Amino acid sequence: MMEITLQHYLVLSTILFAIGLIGVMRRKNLLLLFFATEILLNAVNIAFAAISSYYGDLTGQMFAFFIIAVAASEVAVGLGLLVLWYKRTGKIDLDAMTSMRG
Amino acid sequence: MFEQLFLILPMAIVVMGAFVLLLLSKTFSLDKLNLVAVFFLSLSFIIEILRFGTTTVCYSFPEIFGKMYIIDDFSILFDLMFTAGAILTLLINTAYFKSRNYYNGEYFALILFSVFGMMILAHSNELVTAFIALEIASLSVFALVGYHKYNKVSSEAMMKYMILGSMTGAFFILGTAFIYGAVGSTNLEDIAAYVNVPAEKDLVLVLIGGIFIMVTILFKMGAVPFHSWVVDVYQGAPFPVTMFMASTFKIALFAIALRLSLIDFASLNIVWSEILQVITVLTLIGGSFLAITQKSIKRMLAGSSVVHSGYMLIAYSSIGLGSDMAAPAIMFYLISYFLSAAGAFGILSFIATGSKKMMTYEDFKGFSERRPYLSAMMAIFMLSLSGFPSTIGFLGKFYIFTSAIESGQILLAGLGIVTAFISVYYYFKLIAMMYFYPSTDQQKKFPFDFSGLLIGVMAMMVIWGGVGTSLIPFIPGANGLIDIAKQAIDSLQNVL
Amino acid sequence: MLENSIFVLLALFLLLGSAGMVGFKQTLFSAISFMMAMLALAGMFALLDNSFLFLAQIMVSVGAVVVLSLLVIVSVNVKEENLPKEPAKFRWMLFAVVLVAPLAIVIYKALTYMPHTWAKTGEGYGSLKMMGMTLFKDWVLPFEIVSVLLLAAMVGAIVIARKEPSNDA
Repeated sequence: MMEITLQHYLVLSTILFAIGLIGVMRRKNLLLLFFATEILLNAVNIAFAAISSYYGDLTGQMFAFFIIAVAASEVAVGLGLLVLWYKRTGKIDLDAMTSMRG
Repeated sequence: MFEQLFLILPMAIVVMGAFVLLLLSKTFSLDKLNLVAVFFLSLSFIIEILRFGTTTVCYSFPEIFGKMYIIDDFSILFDLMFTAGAILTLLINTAYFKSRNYYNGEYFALILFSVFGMMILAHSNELVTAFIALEIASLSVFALVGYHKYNKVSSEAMMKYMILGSMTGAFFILGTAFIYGAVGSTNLEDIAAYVNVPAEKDLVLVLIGGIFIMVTILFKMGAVPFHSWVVDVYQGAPFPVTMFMASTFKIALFAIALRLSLIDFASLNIVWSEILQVITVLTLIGGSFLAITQKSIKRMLAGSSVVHSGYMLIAYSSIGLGSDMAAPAIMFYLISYFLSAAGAFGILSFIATGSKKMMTYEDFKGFSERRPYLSAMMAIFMLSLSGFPSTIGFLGKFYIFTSAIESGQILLAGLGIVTAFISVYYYFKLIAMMYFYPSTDQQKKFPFDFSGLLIGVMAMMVIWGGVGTSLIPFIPGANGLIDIAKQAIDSLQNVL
Repeated sequence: MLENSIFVLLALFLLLGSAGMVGFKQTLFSAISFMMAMLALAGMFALLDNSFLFLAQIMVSVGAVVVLSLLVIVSVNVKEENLPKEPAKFRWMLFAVVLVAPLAIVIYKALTYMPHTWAKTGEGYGSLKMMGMTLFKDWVLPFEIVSVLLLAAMVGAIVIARKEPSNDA
């Protein structure tokens, strides 16, 4: 059986990033859009943790740690907005956003 | 110890001001809170203005902050613009937020948080710090855009901005991951050292990482493939926030873009310039199209702000092609755009205080009869934005096109001039509406207040920046401003 | 050997979880698959000897983010018919895959420039002690400004979501 290398982690990170992008691009459920951006950030976190282990240097881990905090704060504001949006329109639908055109 | 503290004092004052405002938000009236916010910002502004030109490049608390927080004339000049922008936003809109029922104390705290984020962004010498600072600034701006929460348009604008903003934010860290993977450090100087050593190393990772970082920055600037949010968000945001975004937040992005380009990717710029040229062409054409098709003045100014990003991108792509003039030209253009755009949006929000409808070109018919002074100032800002000679906007464009020609991008400079002529159409349309049509309403009396005075001062500065030379000592005219810009860029390049 | 199979398992869970997050129609199922992905990611961090990240991931991403989202989903309780209509969702996703594929290839190609094998990591790498020393010796500034970021986000979220006593205008 082959050994797990840095490459495997990085490929995993790439696939996860692509999944996140697809989610952001094609879903219309607003809550899922926030989840998908979380996935994007966490995909990069894998890369950071793996590279950090590779160099034996803690910078990458630090960055991953800060990204976790940033992701949490983004979700907090996003969910606040989502609750407001749902209270007003009764939907969590991206297609409901049509009041500005032209 | 105290010297070190003094170095970070301006930014510390801003964030402490935000804390104080949060504590006071329930007890003070909006007027007093506004004054408190302005007090903290002006304190920071005064310290920075005393320091400009006198400090050598240094790091604050190098033993614990590492080399993350750099202090040079470049960042101090940007700090001055951020604090000045926030002060103007707060002062010009004193009447506006009293006329609306959705403002409360946290508004001022969020503005100060955002200014704090921008200041750190200008000072940061490291990608992690820059990312967090960018996030502080953008999260506060997200919340400010959605501040009018009884209005569906405002929430919608915030939702769009936020989803797209956090998605593109991920590209910044992806780019940082690449650069970290190649260099093993995220410090800008380490990256510069890695890039500049001409050994046979593969710079592919750094190059792609740099491109991903630029995606985020270009998105937040509103350059064309990433511009879809600009007009809607500018329209949905309350007027003071639109003014803050257009004048101040946009400048912050050029702070990090210039630092990255001049320190880190200086030797990669030749590869980059082609990508940037394509984006510049798209931005100029697409932005002009956006601006022409709008009926509302707010949306027109939003579209034209994309075009102005395009002008700055002309000079930005000239940096890599060896134009010494390019970086100071961007700084000068930022100052000129800051004055004109802040003034134009200021007038809009000043007018919007009294009425709640969306302002279209039609609403400005005969405006000169109703408000002669305001329409004169509006005309000055429009002339400056379109680059009419004898305003500061003309000199800004002049320096930009000079730098483009200097670096051999004749076609790009030509396109810039063409779009400048196109922009005459949508700016002069407003002037024509104001002056050449009879007024539909009766003449009202002119309320005169502090906001109007400030807008007047800005209009004078726009003219002064265009025609003033150093005839009067101590007041910098156009020569002085470009010298200041050059000094700031020099401080940046002397690091290595 | 064991490490390899753990990696494969975790990667499987991670990909299944995130794919499920993107694919499910019901928001609750999506949230639960998202939680699975986050837990698998925490396991990844543990596998990479990053004990601190493992803790942070469990506490913040799973403990805070997912629980908060579940709370919002349950309290909002969107009815089945009010969920966004997404006809031909998977066909559109296939289209998105085609769009994203070039980008993914670019990322993958770039990543192949990175080294392939592990370097020896030092003794005590990733231990809490070393992590704490690094955090408070070299990374004080980001740590401090992250606190400002969290505060600003909190203020923003409260301002947006709070019910005002004043009228709707």
